[in-house]
Amino acid sequence: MSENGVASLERAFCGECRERMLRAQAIVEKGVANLTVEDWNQLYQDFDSLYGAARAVNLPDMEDLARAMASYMRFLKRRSFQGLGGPPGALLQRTITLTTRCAGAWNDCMQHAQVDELRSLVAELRAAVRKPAAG
Amino acid sequence: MTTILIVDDSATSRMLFKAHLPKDAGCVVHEASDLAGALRLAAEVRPDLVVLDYNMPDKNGVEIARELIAQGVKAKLALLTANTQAAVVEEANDSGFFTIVEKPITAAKLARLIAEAAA
Repeated sequence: MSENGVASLERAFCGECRERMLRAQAIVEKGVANLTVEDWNQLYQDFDSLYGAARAVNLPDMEDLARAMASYMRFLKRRSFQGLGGPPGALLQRTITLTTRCAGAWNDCMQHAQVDELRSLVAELRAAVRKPAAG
Repeated sequence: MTTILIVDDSATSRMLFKAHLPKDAGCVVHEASDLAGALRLAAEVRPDLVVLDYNMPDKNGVEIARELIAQGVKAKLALLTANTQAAVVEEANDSGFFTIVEKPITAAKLARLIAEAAA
């Protein structure tokens, strides 16, 4: 694929990231007690699709983050988690915030401190699925 | 000329699919991002090949395929997925897919898919 083609794909990915994170943020802002099964499913769907899209454009750190969050959503759903209070909600908000920030300035994100923050968050999410859900 | 309908909720994935199409394959590609779009376009353009992503927001790719078949779509069906667990493969095989293509899509995989669909 040409350099222009790769650049176009990355722009498309960033646009898709922003759109999905806007939707995720709107869901989270409904509040802990108000989330429905459909909200959960939408959150999982958005992160799982982002995982596939990041893989398609060869962005491994973003792929890891989206996949880790999708796994975390699945983990919480299996435990009939009722809301987003406490650590699960905080992890979700941090993921949305970081993904949104990276989508806005991808090259900066990957070259500066954000990449360490991203990898640290991935590690937390992976560790979280090995623990009982809180709240 | 092969008419292809790609059904994937990811705009990035659809763009990658089109970017990897062989330039001399004589393909026309239409895109849908959900069940409603897939049903509408399948009726309009009568594709030869429908490529469905498994993980979709309202119904998964296998469920959409069943709806397409129920609507009378005669196209060959291919499932595009990063999840090749046995349960998904079995579900796809039982639902009329002639092949499963593992993500990420590449030019080689797409060329092979189009050739197999035309056979």
